[in-house]
Amino acid sequence: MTKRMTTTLSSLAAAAVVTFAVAAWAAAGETGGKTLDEARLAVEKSSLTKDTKREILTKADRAVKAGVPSEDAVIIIDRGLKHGADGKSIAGFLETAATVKERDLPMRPVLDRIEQGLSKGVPAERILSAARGLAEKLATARPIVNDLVRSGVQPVPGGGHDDAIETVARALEKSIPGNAIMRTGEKVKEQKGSISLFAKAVDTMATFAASGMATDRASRLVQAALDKGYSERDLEKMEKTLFDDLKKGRSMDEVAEGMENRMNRNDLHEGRGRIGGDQMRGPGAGMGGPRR
Amino acid sequence: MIKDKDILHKLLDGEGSPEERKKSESQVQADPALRKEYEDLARSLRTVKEGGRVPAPAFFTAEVMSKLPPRRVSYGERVREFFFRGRILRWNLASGLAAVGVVIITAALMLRLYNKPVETSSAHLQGESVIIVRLNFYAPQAARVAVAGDFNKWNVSANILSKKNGGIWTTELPLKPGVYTYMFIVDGKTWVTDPRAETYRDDGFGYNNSVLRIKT
Repeated sequence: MTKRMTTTLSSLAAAAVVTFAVAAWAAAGETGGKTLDEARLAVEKSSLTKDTKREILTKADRAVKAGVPSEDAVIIIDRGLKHGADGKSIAGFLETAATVKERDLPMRPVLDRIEQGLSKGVPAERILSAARGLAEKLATARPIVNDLVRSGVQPVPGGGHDDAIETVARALEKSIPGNAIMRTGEKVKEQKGSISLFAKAVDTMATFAASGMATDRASRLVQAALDKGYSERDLEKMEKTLFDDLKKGRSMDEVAEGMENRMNRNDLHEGRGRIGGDQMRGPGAGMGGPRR
Repeated sequence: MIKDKDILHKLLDGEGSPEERKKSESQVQADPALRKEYEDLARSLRTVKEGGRVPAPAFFTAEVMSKLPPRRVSYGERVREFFFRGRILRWNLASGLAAVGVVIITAALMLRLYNKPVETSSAHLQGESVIIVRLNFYAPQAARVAVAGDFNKWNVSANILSKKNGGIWTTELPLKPGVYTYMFIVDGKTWVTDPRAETYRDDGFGYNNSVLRIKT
């Protein structure tokens, strides 16, 4: 290699390193830029006991080694300390996240719940209980979703499988029975639907239940919708209708009855193959959006 | 002898008055050894002039300097010289363009990696992968309104809304297609569900998050 080539290659390498470093620095600045080492330092400087500090740092290392993004570990530690969470709870958050990842369950919902709870100022022990509860429900949800896929419900590319596990876990949290969820899966299979339709159906059931509808009624409504060939868009429309009616001050019974009537009239159904914007049904339906 | 050399150089360089030059020429002609030396030098001079000027290579001085035997210096001096020595950066158009190419490609890769969106001023559906969503919130009495959600890991300081006329607070978020949950935070302490959201989802702690669905 000639001296000139060496010089040229060195210049190119230097230019690449400088650009990469500047870009990485800029990107770090955008995301807050706090590193795990800085979070460790914050733990060391905190007023926690020596044992608790060690426990937090050990759990943080375990979480990151398990595959929890260090950014999330930093957020949990930083936000936990800032909001005065006790050290045991912070260690518990990290351990729960690590366990979920180690069991190959979707970890994003658990991290989201912890980060959200800390931001909203929810007491740490309540966040921990909710995160652990969600982790258990995710573990229960996984075989349900796997069985459905094995039995012929169409998988979808991307994160459809994890989304389905997350929505089933959410439905289980709302006390929707496992057999009602599996029955919903069978309905989706009968309609030759995808795992994505199943996830949306379960999501709608959970939303209805969380809004105060009895779980058996929520299951019946959604299963009836699937029998009629409702698409994901139709199920979304059912949810919008529910909230629009509730905003108008109607009771849940009135809302559910109204929805059943509309379903019988096929008012909420656009059909699976239809592509385009939501169809306006008039002011009474409370759907909003432009009239077509 | 030195005086003789002086006479030769003056003659060859054309220096001195005509009388002095005539005298010098007589001296050279009288001395055979001096005459021979004069002729040799004059021939060399003619050859050099006939050959024309050859420009020195661009880095002639640096190359000559680099080939000189190294000077014996102490370790401290070498370190000092390494950091403070002036350097000549060699470059040519090809390597310059290549460096620019590397910078552009690396920057593009970094931008792609961190998916920095391009801001636009419209409310919905700009571009393929990132969509700009405008959130509005009515709070005429508020001094500060922020929005936190799963898109910013519930960071209450990441997205601050700006106040417009009539008590409307607004912000634009670059988001990929998907389903997001969020809430507004008024004056840094009160979490408020968006009353204009189409649907809601409970957060597991007794609040209702607003749901934002972004489709391709």
